Amino acid sequence: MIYSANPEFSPFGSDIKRIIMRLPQPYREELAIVRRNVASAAAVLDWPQIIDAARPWVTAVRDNPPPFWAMESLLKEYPISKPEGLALMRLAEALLRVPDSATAIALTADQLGRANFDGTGDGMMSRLSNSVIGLSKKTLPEADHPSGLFGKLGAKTVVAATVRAVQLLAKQFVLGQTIEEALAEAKSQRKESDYLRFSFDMLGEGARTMEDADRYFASYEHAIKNLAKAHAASPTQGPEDSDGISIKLSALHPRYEDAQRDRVMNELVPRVWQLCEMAAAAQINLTIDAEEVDRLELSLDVFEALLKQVQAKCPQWRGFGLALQAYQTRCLELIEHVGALARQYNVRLMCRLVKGAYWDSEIKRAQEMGLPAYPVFTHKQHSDSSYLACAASLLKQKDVFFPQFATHNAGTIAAIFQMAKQFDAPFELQRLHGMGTGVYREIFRSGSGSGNREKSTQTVRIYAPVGSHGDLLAYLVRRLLENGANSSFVHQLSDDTVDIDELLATPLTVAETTDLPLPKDILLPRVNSAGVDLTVESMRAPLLAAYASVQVAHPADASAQQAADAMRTAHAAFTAWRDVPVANRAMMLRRAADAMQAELPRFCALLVKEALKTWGDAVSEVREAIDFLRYYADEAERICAPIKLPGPTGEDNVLRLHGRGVWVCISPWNFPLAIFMGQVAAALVTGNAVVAKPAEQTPAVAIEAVSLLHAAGVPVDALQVITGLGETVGAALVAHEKVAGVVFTGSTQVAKIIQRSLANKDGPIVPLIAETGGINAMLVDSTALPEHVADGVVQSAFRSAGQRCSALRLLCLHEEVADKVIHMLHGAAKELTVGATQHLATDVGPLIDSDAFAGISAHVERLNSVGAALPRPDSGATGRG
Amino acid sequence: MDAATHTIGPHIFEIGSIADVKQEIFGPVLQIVRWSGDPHAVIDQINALGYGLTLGIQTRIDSRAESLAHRARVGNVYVNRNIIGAVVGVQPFGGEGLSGTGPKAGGPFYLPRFCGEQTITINTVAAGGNVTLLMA
Ligand SMILES: Cc1cc2nc3c(=O)[nH]c(=O)nc-3n(C[C@H](O)[C@H](O)[C@H](O)COP(=O)(O)OP(=O)(O)OC[C@H]3O[C@@H](n4cnc5c(N)ncnc54)[C@H](O)[C@@H]3O)c2cc1C
Repeated sequence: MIYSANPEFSPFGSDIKRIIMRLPQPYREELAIVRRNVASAAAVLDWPQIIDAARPWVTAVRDNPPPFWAMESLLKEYPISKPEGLALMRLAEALLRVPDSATAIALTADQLGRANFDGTGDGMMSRLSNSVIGLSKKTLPEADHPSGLFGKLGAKTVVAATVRAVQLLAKQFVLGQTIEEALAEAKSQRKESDYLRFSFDMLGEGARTMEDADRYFASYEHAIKNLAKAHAASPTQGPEDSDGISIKLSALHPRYEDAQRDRVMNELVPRVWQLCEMAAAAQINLTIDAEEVDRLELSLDVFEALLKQVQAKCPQWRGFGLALQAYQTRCLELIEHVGALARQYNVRLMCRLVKGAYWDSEIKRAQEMGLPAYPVFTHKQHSDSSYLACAASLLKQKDVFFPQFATHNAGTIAAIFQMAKQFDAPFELQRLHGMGTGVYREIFRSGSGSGNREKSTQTVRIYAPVGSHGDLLAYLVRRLLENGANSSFVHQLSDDTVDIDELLATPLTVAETTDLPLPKDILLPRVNSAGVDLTVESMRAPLLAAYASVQVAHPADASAQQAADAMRTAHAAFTAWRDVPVANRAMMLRRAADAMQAELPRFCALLVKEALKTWGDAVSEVREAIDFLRYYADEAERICAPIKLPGPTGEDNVLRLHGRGVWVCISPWNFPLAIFMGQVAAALVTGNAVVAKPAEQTPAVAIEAVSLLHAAGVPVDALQVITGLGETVGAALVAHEKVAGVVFTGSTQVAKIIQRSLANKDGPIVPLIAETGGINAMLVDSTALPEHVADGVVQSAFRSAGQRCSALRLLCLHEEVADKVIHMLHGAAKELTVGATQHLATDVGPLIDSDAFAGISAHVERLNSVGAALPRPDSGATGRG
Repeated sequence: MDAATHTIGPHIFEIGSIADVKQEIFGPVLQIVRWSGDPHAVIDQINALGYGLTLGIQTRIDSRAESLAHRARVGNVYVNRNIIGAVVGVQPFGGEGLSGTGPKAGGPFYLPRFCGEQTITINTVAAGGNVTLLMA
């Protein structure tokens, strides 16, 4: 792994300082942006004319539907919204990678068992379904319980046939298994039209290890060499007229992330530059694919570094460019920025405009992170209008852009033709291999939609995945989803019940309402805590500023006498606090939650400084504390309301809950704010007085949390904090006669000591709530995606330096995939940055103190001696620090 | 490893069997075992460790995920994702066995444990008679 070297505080740890963001922050209110986009697109478009141009295309496609094997036809028969379509998608995602037949049978049976494949349509796929998939349903054993030998033999045949069906599906989307094959296929397709171009995409998941990145690099390099060779036959052609390549930066570096910016600039940029140099020498188009929103700023840093090189070393190259996603609310500003860069470095770019392929995951991410708004539009028509406004912007900047419009939407295409004519700007269209075939067939046949029927001279570039069918899976599922989504043009085109007027309806309108709640509203009626995207300068700056100023207090340990006094004081305050109406107690918690939200930066900084949390962990923890406060406020009001019970006439029966007395809350250092706050808030809001003892390593943040609650109205006597060692103060609190309950999070061993101490006491039997450790396991079978497993394992086992009670300790791998996954895990773990947590780049921070360090070191030594005896697939890296 | 800063990088060990794991190691140390055959037997061995906090299951076989989760005696099961970062009110957190007493923090059964309960029964006919019944 990488040890971060610079002990000084510097978030990027190097001289490449990024002070400003290139673009507006991504989480802005949507409607204002939509209004601007609609206005600017409406100013240059005549929609009725667009409908006139596109109508003949879509009518022709409907009259003469694409071949039975095309995705559109298939999804018409098995829509993703139905169990059959879903089963198909899920089989397509997993089946081809399963190495062992027993698991393949279980998977197939499981998925087919849910679906009804006895379709009645004709065509090959449904025939396949009737004969193969339909049959398999009848012969397959119940999912995980293969019955006897006969059943198994039958099942194997069925699985083999299903595998073939999925391969058939896959074949539609790959142009060739190798670049050589793909080039040959491209050549043969070009015989039908001189105006066909290709951009090859080398398939695979993003790199998790340097080895992955090396492999992808080699495959891009090999592809570009072959493209150069092919292009050498017609050297006078520019990049507009020859085949090119598309690359994904996430494939070329295992840590292509904003927090690892130094490494990205130092390690990734030179690699990409090598590919660029080759593409420049061959005068072909090289496009950097667009990926997730949180990588956009970083991708622009990389892009600018490359542009600088282009200007210096091959200023004549006109084939460089990147993909721009119109579904991002920042796309118009992005185009302005990229245009400005192109002018600054005097390079003409080829830029692909797409709507964007990760819509669902961007929405999920924003919700999970509690972001202020979505970074992408939340209405399909808003993405469409953004696309058109962006297209106009690209077409207007002829000096620096050769725009490449990637879309399968007939309305969008007709609008492009209209605008391009108006601005008299050259451009090309792009489609994905295996998609949009019908619409593009009609465009080629009819010309640019201006009514003339002569053959089109418009160039179309096909984005053509190259690779084995096994590597296609993730891509294939994206395409299935894209084609299957109800809002998708391809989907609606194949659905005869969607009227053509509706299909081509203008997107230049504003949808004022949405079914998609903002991230803060997904838990309504409770407000979700607001998070921070650390890749956004304006959001992380307050955190870093707070770090510079925050002080960690070091309170003196309390004595046993002080502990006893606190118990007595709390006990005296109990009755009055119990009698405060629950609504008021709940309100105080909510008030504290709001205050903590407002002070999130300071609390994060405190956690980083005192508890050695990474910034990401700190943000999550403060959010958790806020959530606890609001959740328990709601819960208390729910459970403390009197419950009327049934009974005989002449009698009223009511059940009521009330506080028990003084609770002792003992919390650990690993979540010194969230667990502390959770325990305290729960006890308080139900009407108990509290004496809380934070871990001796982390008292400062707890004291701050308590002052927040006091400021919110909780009486000082009803909530007291006592700092010090568990063995002394903790033990004194637990043993005190006034204890009405103990809530403890920590080790199993200490929980037992507390339990015994409570049992030994005279007086009432005192309840104990204990949350202790775990030997947490993860079971992985051979249907799982190794890259996905590696992500989950690395996060679960190593994040927070493994100092979470939920952390993964024991990974159980199916033997068929164990070697591969272990190898990948070693490679991925090697890429983690270990060091001081104030650096944004740090993934694995220190252990909490020297005792912990000594303890874990001893375990590592022991395992080294035991583990050494076992056969290991990658002994070089096993067990190495 | 760096004793001065207390940092230990990620460590990965392969061990012979699940039963070899005797104790929780509260740091960046991962142990790996291989299995074959029936995954339910693996869950039984995990249960036998006596803890029961979190469990990850990575499979595309939905019925398998369901039945393994059902068999596992753990508080928080995560399918096809990481196993950390439980969210309040969304994934109430806490386990059983050596992992704790429950109730789960951030869940609907947490607060009642902090409370005493009282029923009040009032004989409404003491003063005179059963007005409700007679007036109905
Ligand atoms: C040649 C080519 C290259 C590509 N390269 C990339 C790339 O580098 N990066 C990338 O991300 N994608 C890329 N794509 C994929 C591309 O984003 C999708 O194919 C495209 O969005 C489909 O748009 P459409 O106009 O064909 O279909 P349409 O059906 O008109 O549009 C579908 C799109 O609308 C958007 N959308 C759907 N629902 C909503 C909603 N509720 N709210 C807001 N927006 C919504 C989504 O972006 C969705 O993909 C590429 C596509 C092509 C053809």
